Amino acid sequence: MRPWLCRGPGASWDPVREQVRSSGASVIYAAISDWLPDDLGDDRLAAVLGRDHARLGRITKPQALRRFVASRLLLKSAAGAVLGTAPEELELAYKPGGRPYLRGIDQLDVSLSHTEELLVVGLTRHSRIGVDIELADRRMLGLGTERQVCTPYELEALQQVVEELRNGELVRLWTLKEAYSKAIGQGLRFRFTEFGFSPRDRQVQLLRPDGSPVAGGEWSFTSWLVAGRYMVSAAVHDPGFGGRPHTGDAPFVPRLSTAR
Amino acid sequence: MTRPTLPPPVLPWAGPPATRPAGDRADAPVPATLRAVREEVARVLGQPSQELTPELRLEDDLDVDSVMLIEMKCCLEHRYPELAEVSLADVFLGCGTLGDLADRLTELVGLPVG
Repeated sequence: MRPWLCRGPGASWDPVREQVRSSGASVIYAAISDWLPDDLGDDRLAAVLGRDHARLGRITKPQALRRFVASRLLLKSAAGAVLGTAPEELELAYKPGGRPYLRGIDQLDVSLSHTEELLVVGLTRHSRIGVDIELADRRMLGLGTERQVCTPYELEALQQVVEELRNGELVRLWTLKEAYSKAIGQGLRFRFTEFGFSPRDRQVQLLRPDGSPVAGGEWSFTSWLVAGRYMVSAAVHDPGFGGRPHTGDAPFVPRLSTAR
Repeated sequence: MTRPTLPPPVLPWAGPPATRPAGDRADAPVPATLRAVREEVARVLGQPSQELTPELRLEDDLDVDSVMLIEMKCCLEHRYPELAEVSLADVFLGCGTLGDLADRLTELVGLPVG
């Protein structure tokens, strides 16, 4: 599976339908500018956004407003194309931790991420998906960030990566962790220092803090460089029941912070 | 989950502020934690701390993302080393505004951290 670039509302969704049909999941990315309507006051926009439309009046940052509108349009359009329904017939709702889901639709899981000018949406007919995107050269190394997000194994392994590639590897590790935490609906409640991945790995797998692999092969993790400068990662849970929704196997959740 | 009721924290006052955020009463001192939040958030966002009033929302008004939250926690740890033992979630979850974050910080640094 490769992320598919969607160039706007007029593009064909056939590649996405085909990916979902063949592999059960699809990752789509798009430019905000390609998905931003000319008129944010248009009644049709209100119809498509549904309950999310009320949020527009509360977002004061123009860039955040553009991202919010474009990302919801992209997600609902992609989901509608796979489900064979109009975007305005879908209601996007949010779990307490902020995880989006389609209300009343249990045969398609969704995930959303954005950075700067690019959006990414994940769809799966398997049980869960999480996606994350960051600028591949976003500075994270040397800010103390690595101590907040890396396991002891990752910190040591990062030191083995040549210096010019080290920040990029930290960004990739971060997007993998974000994707996984989104997929299992934990978000910031996850302690990112208590599960991890390996820098420069070919077969990405979930690791414990000491670097030993977590048993179970139901999760797949992939990272891609898209549009030349964005790191996209996806975590997909495939319980192996032919894509039927399944909630039996608990994900690896090392330690949660106290709920607030 | 319902959070336990906490006793009023002992505020680590740091004297009268050099500048007051808009919206504060003229006679009200600014708690050290609010000052710290404004200065460290300003550092991460690259904008003047004077613009950062307590009612500003981290997401909708300031466009703060998850990497910025981590950077903010790193910066705040320099001022309050005890925060190193507190998870990212326990610092930020439920904090919609800068004022909320300052209040959370006051709880965390004004009480024993377990």
